Amino acid sequence: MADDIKKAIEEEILIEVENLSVDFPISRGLAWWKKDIVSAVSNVSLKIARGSCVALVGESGCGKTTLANTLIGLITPTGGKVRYKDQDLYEVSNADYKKIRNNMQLIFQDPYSSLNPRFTIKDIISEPFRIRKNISELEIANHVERLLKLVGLSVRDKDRHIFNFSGGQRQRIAIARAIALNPEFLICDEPVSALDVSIHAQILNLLLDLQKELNLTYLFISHNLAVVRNISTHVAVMYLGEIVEYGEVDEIFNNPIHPYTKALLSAVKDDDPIILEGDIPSPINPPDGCRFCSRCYLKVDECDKDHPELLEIETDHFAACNLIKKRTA
Amino acid sequence: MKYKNNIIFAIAKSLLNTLITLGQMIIKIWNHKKGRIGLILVVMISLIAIFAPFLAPYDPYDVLQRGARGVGPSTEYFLGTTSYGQDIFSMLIYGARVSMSICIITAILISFTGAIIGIAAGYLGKLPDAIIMRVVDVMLVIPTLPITIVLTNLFGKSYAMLIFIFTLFGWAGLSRVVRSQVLTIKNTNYVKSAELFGGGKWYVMTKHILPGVSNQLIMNTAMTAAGVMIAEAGLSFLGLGNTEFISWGKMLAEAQSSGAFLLGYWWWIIAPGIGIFASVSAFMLIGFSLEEIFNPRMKSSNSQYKVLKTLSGTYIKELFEQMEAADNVGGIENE
Repeated sequence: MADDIKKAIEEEILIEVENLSVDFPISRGLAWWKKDIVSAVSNVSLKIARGSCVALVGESGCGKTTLANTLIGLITPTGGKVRYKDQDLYEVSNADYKKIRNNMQLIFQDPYSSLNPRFTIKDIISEPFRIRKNISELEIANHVERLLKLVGLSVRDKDRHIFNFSGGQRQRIAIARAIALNPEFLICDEPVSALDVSIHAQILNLLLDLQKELNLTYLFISHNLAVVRNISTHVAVMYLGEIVEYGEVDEIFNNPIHPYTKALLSAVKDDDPIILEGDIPSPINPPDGCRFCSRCYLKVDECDKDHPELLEIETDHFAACNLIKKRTA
Repeated sequence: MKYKNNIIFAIAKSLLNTLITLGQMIIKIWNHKKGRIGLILVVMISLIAIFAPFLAPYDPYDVLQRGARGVGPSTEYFLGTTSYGQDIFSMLIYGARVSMSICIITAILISFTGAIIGIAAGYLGKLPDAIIMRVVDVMLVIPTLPITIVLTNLFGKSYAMLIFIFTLFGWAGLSRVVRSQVLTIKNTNYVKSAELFGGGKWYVMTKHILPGVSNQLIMNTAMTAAGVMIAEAGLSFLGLGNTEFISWGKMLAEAQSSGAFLLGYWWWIIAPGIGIFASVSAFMLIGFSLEEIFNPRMKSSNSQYKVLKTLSGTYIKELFEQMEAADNVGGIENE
């Protein structure tokens, strides 16, 4: 990465997540007063700089989507802070919060359920304008045309219903709706995983083009590492609600530190991949020690007790592992 | 000029939209075999009800005027007369007015209240949902007939009273159906997306949820109309119906109370019976056709084919072929 771009990225932190935790109380059996706690996201800290694309990778059920939904405001966290340009999302007034929320949007995973089948394309894309702004029909029509062109769809299609469109086209429509109000921060929740493989590249290139054109910042959730390598500038690896490794994309791919990241990458690159035994443990009352210890192939005795912190191992490269702590100490 | 903030413009637009949806619905029903029969019947009966004064040859309220009591069907009295001398054909035509109007008004009222309450319970959730659903539970287990007897005795037997009673006991079931549908729509991503853009509760309810349940509502309106027709006939027969106008149920009640069964005045019983049968089956046919239009899996063609197959013998033939095939397999194994 060129140095000037790197500098530009370091200039401004757009989103800062600090010790964010999301717990869901659940009751099991007849004892309704006894609540177990599912810790979907625990103590996550993350900084997202303007213009960057942070990829969030991890296996299913590790809390990626919960984190995204919490950032966007669909879920209220149990602890921690989210700052948008130094404004705390959970402390600002309602009016300010609405303004901030105009600048944050979410692209859903499945374009088949995120668009109302009763609406025409024009209805779908103009929905944000109708809700947020008091503008005339003519202006709305102009905006719709502009957005359709921007995502590479024909303006003639605007009066058709979405059942006429393929998955890739639907996702373009969903993207057009998400960028309608010129947001600065866009969360993409696995935007290509519901689509055909042949469509992946189109949608990813569209997202990259839009990033350049509109100066967008992405939080990109995926479990496809090839996609992540193409699109992102930073990678955060999640395991069971925690971030276990965070760093720049080249650094993570060339020099992974955490055993979990190594296993993930070896599954893509090596002929002889590291195979993790067993399943992801239940997030109900998770272990005190390292959360990965039940499946770790490098486990030592202290992993059962000591919970590793996310430490800066090298410049801008963080990892949470007891072994590394030992090595650096 | 800003049309958007003009209330009259907004109302006109929403009215137009409703008309267009209804029009499309009617076209869909017309293109469906069952639905077309139902639609023709409903339109016919409605037209007869509207133009009753022009169609009826005599005044149906005209009691003991001509002295022709208990006359069977003839050229003068198309469907005969009652033992009071009223013309049954005229009564049938006038009865359509009360029966049809009660059906349609009640069905619409039930759909409105059921929809509003169901949507509110389903979408608002939590405490409002809990309260409304408990009220619905109570409404569903209340025995209707004793309450109806009490209410009619207290407030008098009238046309409006009937509508009130049917609506009171009708909305609960519908609101439960609507609520369950709202719960599925509420959790879709397009509703979440609308909420992310700042769409309030009112916006989501009117733009996403109401259109989502409208199919169910229209179907339910047709089915409710059929149910109300039977209920009206039943209540009138028991003497709890309206006292002002002639309705088909009331005709049956009068026939029974003045001994038409004993005197052998079969025309007095058959005429309103056919009226009730025709209108109930018309509404039911529309309801069934809508059910199949909205949910093509409901189509009953499969079972019909089975009956036809059995009748034509092919089904039995296939069975024999299968048995022979099974024999052959066994034979090879034995060798």
